[in-house]
Amino acid sequence: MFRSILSKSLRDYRVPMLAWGFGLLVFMAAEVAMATPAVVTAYISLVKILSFWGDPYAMNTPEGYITFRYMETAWPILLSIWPILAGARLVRGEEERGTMDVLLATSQTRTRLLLEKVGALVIALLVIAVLYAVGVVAGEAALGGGHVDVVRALLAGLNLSLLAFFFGMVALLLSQLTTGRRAAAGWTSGLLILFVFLNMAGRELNGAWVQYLSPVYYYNLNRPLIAGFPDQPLAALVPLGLALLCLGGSVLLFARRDIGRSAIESQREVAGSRQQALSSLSRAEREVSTRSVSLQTLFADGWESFWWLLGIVAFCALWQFLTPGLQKFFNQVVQQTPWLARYLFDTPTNTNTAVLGIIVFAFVPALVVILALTLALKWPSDLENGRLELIFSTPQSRPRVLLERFGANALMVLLASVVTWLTLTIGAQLANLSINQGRLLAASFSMLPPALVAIGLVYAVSGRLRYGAVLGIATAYLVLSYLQESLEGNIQFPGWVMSLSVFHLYGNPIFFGMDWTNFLGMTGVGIALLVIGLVQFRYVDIELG
Amino acid sequence: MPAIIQTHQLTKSYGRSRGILDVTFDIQEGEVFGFLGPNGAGKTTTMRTLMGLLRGNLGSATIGGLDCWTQSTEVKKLVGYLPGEFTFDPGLRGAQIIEYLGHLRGGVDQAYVRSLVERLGLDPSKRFRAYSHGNKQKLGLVQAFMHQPRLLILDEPTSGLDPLNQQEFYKMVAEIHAEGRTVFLSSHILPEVEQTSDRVAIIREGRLVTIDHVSALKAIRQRDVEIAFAAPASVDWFKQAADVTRVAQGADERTLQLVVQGDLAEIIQVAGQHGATNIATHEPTLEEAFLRFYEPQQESSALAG
Repeated sequence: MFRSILSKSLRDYRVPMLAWGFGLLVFMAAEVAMATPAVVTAYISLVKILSFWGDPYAMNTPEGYITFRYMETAWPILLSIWPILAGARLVRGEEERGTMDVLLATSQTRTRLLLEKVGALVIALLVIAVLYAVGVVAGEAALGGGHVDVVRALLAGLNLSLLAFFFGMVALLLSQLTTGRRAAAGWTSGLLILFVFLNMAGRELNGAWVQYLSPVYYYNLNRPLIAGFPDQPLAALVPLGLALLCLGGSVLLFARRDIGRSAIESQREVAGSRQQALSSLSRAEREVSTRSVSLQTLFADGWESFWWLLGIVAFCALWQFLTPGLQKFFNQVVQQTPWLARYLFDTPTNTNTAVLGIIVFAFVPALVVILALTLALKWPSDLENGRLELIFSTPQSRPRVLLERFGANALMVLLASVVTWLTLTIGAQLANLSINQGRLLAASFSMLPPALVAIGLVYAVSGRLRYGAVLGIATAYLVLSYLQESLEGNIQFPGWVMSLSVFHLYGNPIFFGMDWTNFLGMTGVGIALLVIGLVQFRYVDIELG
Repeated sequence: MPAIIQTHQLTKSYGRSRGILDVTFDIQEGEVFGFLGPNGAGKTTTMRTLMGLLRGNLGSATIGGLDCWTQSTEVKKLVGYLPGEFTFDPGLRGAQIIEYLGHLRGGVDQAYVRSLVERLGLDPSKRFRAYSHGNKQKLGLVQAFMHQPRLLILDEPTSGLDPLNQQEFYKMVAEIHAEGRTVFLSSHILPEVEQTSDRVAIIREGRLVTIDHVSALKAIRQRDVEIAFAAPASVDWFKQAADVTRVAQGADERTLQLVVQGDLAEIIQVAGQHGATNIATHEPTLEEAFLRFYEPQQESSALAG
């Protein structure tokens, strides 16, 4: 596996590649197998409400149902996450670790190095596409056959991987223009959300031109799972062409720029008189961010968190703007389909709050928990990379440093709850929407305990485990939690199993108000995990890389 | 003088692999103490255990009478520490890092910080990611010295520094020494330890091999002696001589090469009896004394550390 950069990179990708691939395989096999006529027919009632989610086509078939529910919006977002991270760290990660100098000290050219790494990413995405197809075919076999053949399943997987590859290449290009992989990944994630919104807005505004700006739109022009869909194979050239453009730009910039610096980095960093250099000490003295670990953590996380919060604001504002238009449909469907009310929230409702609840609070809690996980994971990452070595050489006790980091993460999550509540409250005022303030408050601030559990879990296991293991455990728990809650309508889990899901315990406060038992219970679990983390951390060695 | 650092049979193992074993030494207040050993011998493990970053499995370690593990927060109030390898948030500027660590430590005199920055020629306006290895090391030295601690623990402090800055560092250590403060430094550069330290400890495969004054270590030296004669010489003349550990023919038949440990009196006498025309001795450096401790097991496997 160490014969070339390509094989070494493939080795590096083996865990995420197999995790994402087999995760998709299992999920698709289960979902396709469960796409029985009863489930498909029941789901058709939802299509009008969820018109932002996809363009319904052949909705009375399993392949139409699967395409609408997962292939148009959900998987393009989820499957792009790893390629974005991989694209951002493709060369920038090596530069940050200081290993790029060693690689380039060999006879490899920069272009070849970059292309071999991209080649490994392409192979990994192809493997994921194949595993996706295997899952679809397996589910199809369980369902009885006759809907999707192997070739169509494979084409659907390839279409998905192509879009993910595009976002990976955008991240690669942006990593040439930024000085850190985190910034590149953050900007690309923002673009992903923007492109998804543009595509959704296009759908809601009856084919408005804005959707043509989104590669997600061109991806959706092909729906290989559906035999009768008028596919436009040439549309696939748009994400492919854009990906190759980004790749070409990356090759050009990478071949010409200084290693460790951005292609457009300001020369002010290089120049500057001795006096100016020393004056930076005076400026640093006045900075609030240097006063404590918690303040430094908040400021360090600030830029990344800002984009998350902006995304949440945009998401809430967009759907608040669309709520009046959806209200009529919503009332109609709920009145005509009693099971829907039970399926969604056990009781009929026809308020703006309910519409917002279905749309906004189905996703924002997941976003807030992912934000919490992202912030908390910096703790094991910093520990492993030796970034805390100097902090621990100061007279700050270990529990204090850990508590300050935990507190900063919790504060950012609290801010996300406040921002959600404020956006929806101010938006309601501006749009003259009547919403139940009590329930909105409950729904917004009930997001805090699941996020605390996510943060607590990371801190609880970070004392003993390496970053990779912490990432795997925390991500697996949250994905399973979300799937468990999503599949509740299809699979009857025992009560105790459901009580393990933070998303299940979050419940539906937008409809039922605050569930103090679950709120306090989850907060207690979060605190208990923090205590475990504190106790563990008192006795462990600070290991390096 | 009281001991500021005391370790007694300090042992730290990493699962199956050994870190340090039964390490016992004292460092007196006001002393500059060198710590020598090859890669993986256990120097960094010892220093990180003293800093409370690693927990010793057996034995004890104290700084200023405080336990390095249970009272590590108090210990760190006494210490300035430079890790062997360190990294920081790559987006922070040098000035921000200095200020941040200064706040966490407390008691930092800004004028002294400026003098250190100027003295080492560090540009604090750059981001951490933009620093070269040498400049990161300067930043590390500034943060270790800036609160004027009672004790400095420095893991390979001159690694990456250019010769001018190395000289500046030696001056800084000499000043600390003159002020009665203590320095515990590890190094691969033996002349550096020879120049800066009062005493030196040599560690090999996790165990302390010797601790002594630098001058004492040099006294147990072996010397190379080259003797030229007017006529062809025989190695047999010196085989029975005291303190000769090896004798061999030199570049030509009139020259002999000897390795002598100890006094040269008998060598000079025997050489005179056989009509020696010249005697040249080569004085060993501490490096040669150091290497002697490794000769029997130079191929030993690397250890953690």
